[in-house]
Amino acid sequence: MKHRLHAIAFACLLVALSPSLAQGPAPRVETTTVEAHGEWLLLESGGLDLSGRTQEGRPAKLRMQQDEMQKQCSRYRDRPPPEVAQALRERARRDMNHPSGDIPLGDWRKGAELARSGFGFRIGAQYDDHAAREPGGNCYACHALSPRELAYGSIGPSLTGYGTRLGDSQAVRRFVYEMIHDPTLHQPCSAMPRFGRHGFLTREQITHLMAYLLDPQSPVNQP
Amino acid sequence: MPSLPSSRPILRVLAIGLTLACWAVAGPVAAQDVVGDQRSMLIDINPGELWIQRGEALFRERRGLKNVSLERCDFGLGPGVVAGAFAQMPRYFADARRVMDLESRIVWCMKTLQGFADEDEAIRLRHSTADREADVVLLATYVATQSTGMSFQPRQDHPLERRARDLGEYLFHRRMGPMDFSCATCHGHPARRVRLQSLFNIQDREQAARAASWPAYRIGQGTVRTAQHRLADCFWQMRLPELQWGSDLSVAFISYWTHAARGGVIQVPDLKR
Repeated sequence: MKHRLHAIAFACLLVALSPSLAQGPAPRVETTTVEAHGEWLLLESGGLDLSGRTQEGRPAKLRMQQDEMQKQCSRYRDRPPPEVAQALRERARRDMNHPSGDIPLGDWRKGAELARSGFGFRIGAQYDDHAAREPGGNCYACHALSPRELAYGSIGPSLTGYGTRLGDSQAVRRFVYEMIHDPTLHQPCSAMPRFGRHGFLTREQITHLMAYLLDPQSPVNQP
Repeated sequence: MPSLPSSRPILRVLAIGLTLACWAVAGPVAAQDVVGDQRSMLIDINPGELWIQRGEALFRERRGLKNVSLERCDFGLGPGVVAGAFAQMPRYFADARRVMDLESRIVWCMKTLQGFADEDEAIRLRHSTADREADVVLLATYVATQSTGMSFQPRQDHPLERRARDLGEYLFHRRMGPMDFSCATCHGHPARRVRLQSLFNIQDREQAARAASWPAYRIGQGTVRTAQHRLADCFWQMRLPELQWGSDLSVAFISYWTHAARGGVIQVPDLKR
């Protein structure tokens, strides 16, 4: 009996690990919840190329697996009840690997490039080659920054004159670093990506973006 | 069938020239709705109209191993009925035993009626390239246009039709990938913009109807694109694994946004950025 269970478990493991075998029959509508059916569509149905290569070197399938923040924010459609929001904030704080000591500002010119660039981590037929170009933060997709750049999005708040408004103390730097690294430290279910936590931007790149926001010489803080 | 663009090419050239001149003079000063203005200036000269006639010719042409046309293809209203068929899709097809969107259904008919195989270029090419228009795009433009001016009324009679819609809704709000986005991040709120591009809001019927109005001539790409193409582009931008054309997964998303567009007006071929 125990042997047979082992065999079954082993077979299941083989199926789970093998992308080409992972396509069982479609779930029955009468006996499957929408959630379970949806997860099957994403992970088992062959609707996505889960075996494709990625820049991070891990299977593409891992990009589809949700962490706790993604799960809870999906469940509550980005409006978590207070106790869930608090738990997510605390979890993000526990996972935060803070730079020790004072946080330096980088080069706002490099920050300006990163703020404009939407390159990086796209996979599939048009694959972003990071050896050719570094990934960017694409800040302008969602935020207004330099008053001279009019092609800005409105998903996030305007950050024009951010440094002029808030100054450049270590407390402000720490807050800005955290907002780019993982905005859910402060706003659970924020629409903004957790750039640092996902390894989308490096620490150094974040300091360049901080300079773009906070350096008095940056176009963001010029009239 | 809607008429082709005006037969006065000089006027058309003048209109394009004027559009470009205004663009050059005004520059991107009025950031608010440059794209919308550009689109409304071009709307009378939508190049996508040219796809309709070529699509119809292809539809009526005898092709494939079986040397027949697509005139017996059943889009849900009976063999050969195209008027109003797109307005009720996606829908469940008993012969295929699944819910299909317009593009999937066209390929189904090309295979079962005409005898095309997966490796034939007529089917393999799902999106147009610089060298060749995809047959599916031409055919989808023709068939969808036969519902222009009607309202979206996707079917919800069959359990799988309702399930496809519900799956689409669940997936639409699922946050995922290295950017933490869900579809709702961009398309679940009023008046949001990425750069200069206004984003449709799934909760607004008219906006959803505009968003569901594919195929459309895309100004930035210089060709007609389809709903499947647009959806795959979203996945790519969200840094997710490549979406497979015509999959049940893709049809679930299309079902959800078409249901959100219920009652809204179908405008195909649309003109989009």
